[in-house]
Amino acid sequence: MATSAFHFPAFHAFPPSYTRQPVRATREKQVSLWCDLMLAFCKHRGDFWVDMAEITQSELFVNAAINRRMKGEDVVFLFDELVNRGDAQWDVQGAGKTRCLVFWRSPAEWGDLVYTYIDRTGQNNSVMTLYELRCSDMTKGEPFHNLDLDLMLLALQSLELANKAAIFEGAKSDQLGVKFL
Amino acid sequence: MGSCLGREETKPAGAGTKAATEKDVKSTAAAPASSVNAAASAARVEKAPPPVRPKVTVTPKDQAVLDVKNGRDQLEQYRKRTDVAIAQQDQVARQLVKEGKLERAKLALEMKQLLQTKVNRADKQLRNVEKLLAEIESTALSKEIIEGMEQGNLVLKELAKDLTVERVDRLLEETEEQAQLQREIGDRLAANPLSSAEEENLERELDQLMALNAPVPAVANPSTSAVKNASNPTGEKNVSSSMSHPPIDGSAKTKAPKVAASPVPA
Repeated sequence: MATSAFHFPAFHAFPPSYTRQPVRATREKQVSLWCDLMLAFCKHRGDFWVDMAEITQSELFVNAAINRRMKGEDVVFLFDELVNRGDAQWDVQGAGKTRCLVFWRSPAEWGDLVYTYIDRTGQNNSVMTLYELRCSDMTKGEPFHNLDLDLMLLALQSLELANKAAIFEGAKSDQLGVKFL
Repeated sequence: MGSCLGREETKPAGAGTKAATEKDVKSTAAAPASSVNAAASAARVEKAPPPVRPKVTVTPKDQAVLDVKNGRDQLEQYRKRTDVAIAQQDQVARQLVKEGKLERAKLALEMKQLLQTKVNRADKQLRNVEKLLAEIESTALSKEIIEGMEQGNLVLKELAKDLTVERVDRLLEETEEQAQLQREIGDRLAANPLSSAEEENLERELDQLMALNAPVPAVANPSTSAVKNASNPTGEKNVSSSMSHPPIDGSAKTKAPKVAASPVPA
């Protein structure tokens, strides 16, 4: 797996990193280091949705070499911090904090990538289905190819806020489409 | 954030430090949140002015196109998953042949064939849908272009309404008249303001001056220098008086060339 090629920073092999630090300044630093690492790790794996149970058991939070692991509740705490930073979003449909959508690229950045593609390929003013944008052969090779549906929607919503796109339903189907300016 | 604090309580910690950590967490949790919000709202305030661009409008035509495209997507998805099923049946058939279960292998191949015909049909449908979409797009484009041209034609008509041939003729006539006038004025200005008598006088004076200057190349001859010196003052006097007494000037003129000319042959 490509995952094994991920290079962990030094603090990952530092035992105190796995316990919540009592001193506030130290803890803030600790949390910030972990949040950055979580983003880098998810980006490396290409993960959009992170399952708490899975990630807690992953090599991100388990360091067998120093016999340390992050407790499940601390993992959720860290993801809460990531959400507070604006770099992630809890699954609103799921019950509780079991899944988290991680923004190693912000929705606005994803939106920009999509819009650049639209501009470059002269598809302004044309209607596209979300499937077409995400999964068709046309967008193969684009960074947003196979982008998670929820993340794509957030990205398009950011474009909508900037009046660069409109998301709408078909006359007969409830499948969403998008029209770019 | 509330639940986050709740978890904090479950964390094993000394009773004395617990309250302190809780307080800390509250402030640390609140601080990033508020700063993020502040940053976000600041960004929104900064970004607010530029989007003056019009909202993207969705027409019924767009919705119809979306419906067709959704149909196409479904066909494409169907084709993808049937392709997978075909490959699976193929794999199964191969495996069964290996195991010697020929009857079941035959069934698997039959299934594969059935799926293949369905995929082919889906492919055809897909092509038809694509054709329809291309047709819609090009027709919509033609319509837009024609509407644009109509608008352009209206503007052209509006512009040309006042542009009559008579108006142009009149304009050209007036311009010609103006040009004629200008030419006359120019001619007048360029015309010689002196009368013919005055002209004659000027000519005479000019000749005189030329005559006085003529001996200059002959200065090298020493015998003539005295004559020249003697004639010079009279010449000068003549020139200065020429303005007031043209007749005297005339006599001087006839005399002077002779005086000047004589040294040259000598």
